[in-house]
Amino acid sequence: MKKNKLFFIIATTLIITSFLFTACLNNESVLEEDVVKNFLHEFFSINSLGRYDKLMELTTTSNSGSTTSGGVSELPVNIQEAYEDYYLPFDDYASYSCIAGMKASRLPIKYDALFAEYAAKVEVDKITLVPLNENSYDFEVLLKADQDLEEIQSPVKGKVTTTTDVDGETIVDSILIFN
Amino acid sequence: MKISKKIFTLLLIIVCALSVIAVPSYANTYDSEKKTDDFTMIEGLTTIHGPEEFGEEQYGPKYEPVCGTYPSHRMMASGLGFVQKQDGSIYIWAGAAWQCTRCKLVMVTEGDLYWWGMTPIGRYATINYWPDDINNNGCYIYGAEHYGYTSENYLPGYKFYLP
Repeated sequence: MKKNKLFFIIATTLIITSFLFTACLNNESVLEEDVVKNFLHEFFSINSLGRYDKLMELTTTSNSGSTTSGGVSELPVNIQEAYEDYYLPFDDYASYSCIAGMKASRLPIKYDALFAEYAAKVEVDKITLVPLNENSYDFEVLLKADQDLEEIQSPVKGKVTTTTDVDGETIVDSILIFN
Repeated sequence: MKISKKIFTLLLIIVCALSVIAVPSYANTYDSEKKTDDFTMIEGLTTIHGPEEFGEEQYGPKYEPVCGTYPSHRMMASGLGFVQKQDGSIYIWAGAAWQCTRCKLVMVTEGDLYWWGMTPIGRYATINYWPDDINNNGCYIYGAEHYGYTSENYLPGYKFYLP
């Protein structure tokens, strides 16, 4: 009888432990994927919340740069600020270096700009992630538009890496689009 | 009664053991329909456009160097670019800024690199040498040294890259 009781207690403990363990594993993976998916959704939501319209509005009403001497100068302050504001929605999902790389590559502004030229409404249809290792994913994003656009006939493919910020939260550390 | 208890407990253990194995593997294949090796693109940070060039060291005499000893400038994307002529007229507004990683030449183009390739370059303007690195946000050129236009999606002597 004692043997049976002991056996029962061990079995119950094992059951509870295994359920807790699997729940934790599952949550962690899904959370990280959620961060990546949210980032990609924001990235590929063309002109999300009028972000590109706002940027263009601010840059077109801006004063020009230095006119005192010829050469190269930094962007005028109000254009710089508008550019920074454009990237604010990515602050929650991406690292500083990731956003710096996006700024240099004009991502995703150039996609906003191009589809704005077509006057097309482009939305994210489906995001597929393929984990490569602990902190990187290959992705495919299928876009849909209210027009027949050649550019979005096939899914956009790329790679995203993740890292953790100072609070231990997962954030996107880089994005690379294959072309 | 004792036997049925034992069987029940054993069954529970088996179910738990299976769930430990099954859940992580589900998590790894979550929302995945394609295998990694479906991506045939070379993993790299550059996309090269422009005419083919000869190997940079091997065939030295067969090209005319335009960037030091190299046959082309290595133009790295550097944010938004604006160009204003010295007469005050705007030549390019919110275009693409590039800077050669070797010789620091600065260029602004209307066209840009997309996932499907380079769009026509359109208007472009250059300043042959600028001592500083332009920052990620881009640059404003007032009075370029050279203005040009092409409807092609490449420019001889220039290769365009994304960081």
